[in-house]
Amino acid sequence: MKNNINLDIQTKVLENGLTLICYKKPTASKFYAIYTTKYGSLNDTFKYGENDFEAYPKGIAHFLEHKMFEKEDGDTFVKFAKFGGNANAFTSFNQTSYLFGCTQNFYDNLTLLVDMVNLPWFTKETTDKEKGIIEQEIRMYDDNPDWRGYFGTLQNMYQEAYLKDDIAGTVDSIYEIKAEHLYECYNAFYSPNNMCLVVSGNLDIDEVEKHLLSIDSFMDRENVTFTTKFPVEPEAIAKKEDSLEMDVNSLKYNYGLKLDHIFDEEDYKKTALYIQMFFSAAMSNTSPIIDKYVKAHVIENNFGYYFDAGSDYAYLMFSGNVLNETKMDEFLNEIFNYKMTPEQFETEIKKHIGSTVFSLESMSSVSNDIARQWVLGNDYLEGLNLLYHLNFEDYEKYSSKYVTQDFLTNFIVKPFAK
Amino acid sequence: MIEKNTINDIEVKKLITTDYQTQYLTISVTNEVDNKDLKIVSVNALATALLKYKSSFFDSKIDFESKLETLYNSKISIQPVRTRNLIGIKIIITCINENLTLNGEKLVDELIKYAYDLLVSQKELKNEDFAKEQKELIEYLNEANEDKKIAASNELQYNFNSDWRKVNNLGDVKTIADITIDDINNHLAMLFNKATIKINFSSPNDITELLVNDFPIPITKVNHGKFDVITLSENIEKVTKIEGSQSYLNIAFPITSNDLTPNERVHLSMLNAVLGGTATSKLFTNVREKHSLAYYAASKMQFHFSYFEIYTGIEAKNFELAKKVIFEQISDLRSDVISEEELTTVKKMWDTDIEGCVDLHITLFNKLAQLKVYGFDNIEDFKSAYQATTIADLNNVAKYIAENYYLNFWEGDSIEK
Repeated sequence: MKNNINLDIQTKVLENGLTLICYKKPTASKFYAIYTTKYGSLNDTFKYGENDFEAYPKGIAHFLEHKMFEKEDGDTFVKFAKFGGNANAFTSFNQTSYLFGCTQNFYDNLTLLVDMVNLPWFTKETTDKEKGIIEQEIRMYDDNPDWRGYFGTLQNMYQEAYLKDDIAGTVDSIYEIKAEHLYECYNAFYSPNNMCLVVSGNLDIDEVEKHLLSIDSFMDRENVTFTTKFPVEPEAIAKKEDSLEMDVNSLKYNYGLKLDHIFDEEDYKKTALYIQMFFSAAMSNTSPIIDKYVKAHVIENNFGYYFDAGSDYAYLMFSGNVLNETKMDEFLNEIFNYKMTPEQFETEIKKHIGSTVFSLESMSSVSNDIARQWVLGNDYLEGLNLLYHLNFEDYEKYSSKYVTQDFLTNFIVKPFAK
Repeated sequence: MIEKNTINDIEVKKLITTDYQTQYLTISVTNEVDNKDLKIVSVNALATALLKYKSSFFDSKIDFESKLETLYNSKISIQPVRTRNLIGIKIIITCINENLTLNGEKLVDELIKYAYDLLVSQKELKNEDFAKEQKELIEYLNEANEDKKIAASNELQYNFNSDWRKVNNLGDVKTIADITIDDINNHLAMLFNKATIKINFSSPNDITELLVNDFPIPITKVNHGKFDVITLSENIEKVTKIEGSQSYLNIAFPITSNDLTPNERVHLSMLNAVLGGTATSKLFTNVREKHSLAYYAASKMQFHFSYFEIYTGIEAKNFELAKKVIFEQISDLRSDVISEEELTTVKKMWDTDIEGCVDLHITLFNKLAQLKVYGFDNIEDFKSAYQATTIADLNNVAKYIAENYYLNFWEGDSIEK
């Protein structure tokens, strides 16, 4: 199969330690930049040098992200808007990213982004003020059954790892956060050698570098040495099943398959792809199993899967609405016994390549993926090219090894009992 | 540049380009429904839900999707189309350019053959289990209430509007319960016996002729009617206790004209952007950043329903303060308190949105479809219209925002901190 992936991506480590990645797309009318630190909700316990480890309140990485936009001279959103920059930010388990898209004034927007991230300004007043806003964000997600199902499933899977904790923390934990905490975390995790900047558009990496070096705040930041501590996570799941009653109309099953042990494989990236291909076929609209159970009114036609992996964890979730709970064991057994033919396997590869090439049309999507893979220590292009090096024999070997119910859990979101 | 033509009464928008690695094609088949008949609109809601979620139609859909997925590196989606006064089906296909180069017309031939077979062979539902599915679909319609942020907005629309308009988002559950399979099939016959066909594609080759020749359904032209203007003789406030830790405040202000010009629609949208359409808006700045009352505080124009809506999620005990801050911002709009800087900021943000959408064929076609709401057929005219907008234009359209409002407050549990 011909490799359709042809992207112009260059990488440089600059003299202050920051990794600069440029995705050059000469036909693009838009520019995009994403400035990322390897700092997410999992990194809340760390130490400087030989000091003792300190655990910071849950949700602090996300809190810091919120506060980065506010400066003594006003809100950075307003400054971006004046240059036509559409700015945003997000925090995940293992990264915090600040980004903007624009069609004009790229370098003005880039200076704003660098200054915003490199010149923090936290006070007691502004920190306290943010607590009300984040409290409402947490409460909004608390009312969302899909979000509750997602974190409920993570809590079923993980015994110790911080994956079980909400990225935004809890209402109680965010009220413990002080301005000093923000500076302490910032000074460690926002070191240039812990960060990368991905820029994309009709850009030249040398010109971008030259511009960055001309920004005072860019070279002022120093690299510090710190160590992060993570809890040791046992291989087994925390519990087989749990449930939550909410103000919902339908019953939702959220299955989680804990796959941390795929890292034992030398080629765990391919292993992860084979597992995803299994679920993509077994749970797709065209799957005979889904068709059968939808028609039998056992499940609704909204089952789908989601895969996520960090540098030492991996899991797959599949969830949807259930109409007849008594048949769900039968459904589950059929899914886990699903067999793909070599022809179906070829179709699955085509589907994956088709959707990958399609996703490459979006500059922001490519740039976000590059940043995410950098955080995980992976080479983005190498990951894409794996799709062209899969084979049916390996698929059968790895899917039969890892797609088992031994590490499966279920979290049920159900309507309040009448 | 997208070229627009009408051939054999089919509206075709094409973008012949090698800028993208994938090609994109949509064929939409729609017909107008009588949007003022409660039963017809409810049948429409149920029919489109059946097309999407289950039914004998689903078998052909699976067959169609499997065949194309097997043949090509493609992504295919067949979706029902339901708007306030339309029923229809939309077939969306993306596949990598290389297939077209390798297979030439074969891809298009196959595609058209399957798509047309699907359309002509699915004139009716043959589902023997209709009653059971109908019950499930009512449950599905009720599920729309599970994301409270969306549900609160739907609730506002439901209560604020009268009679037939209520079914547009949720469907009218009571009416749907009385619908028979014959009602559905009569309704589908209306679609498949005569329809409006629109085709959009972005491809390295011009495939127009293959697409427009011998279309299997007779073609008709949709003629949208205008909506009535809603008038409120007094302010209405409805408070409902809900299970949940957050409270949801939604306020609708009617737009007092159903005869807005395209430019006036642009001006109203810009006014909305200043009030609550961006992260620099008056609502975001004051409700969220200044008073820390909410995570989101925004507004949106509902041109289809002639009102605009303000929505936010707050702590129940902050209801009065949030309301006061929101009404101060509305008062600013009525008192011509909009700065040149606010207007320029909106123009720049819209430039980024408009100029950036060409980087992906789907966003480009979607943007064109969105401009229809304003009455513009192309991006250039729309851009000229918003670029030429002045503060006086914004002040002028502020008069269309009615004095009286409809307020819905879903009151969750107040938590002391």
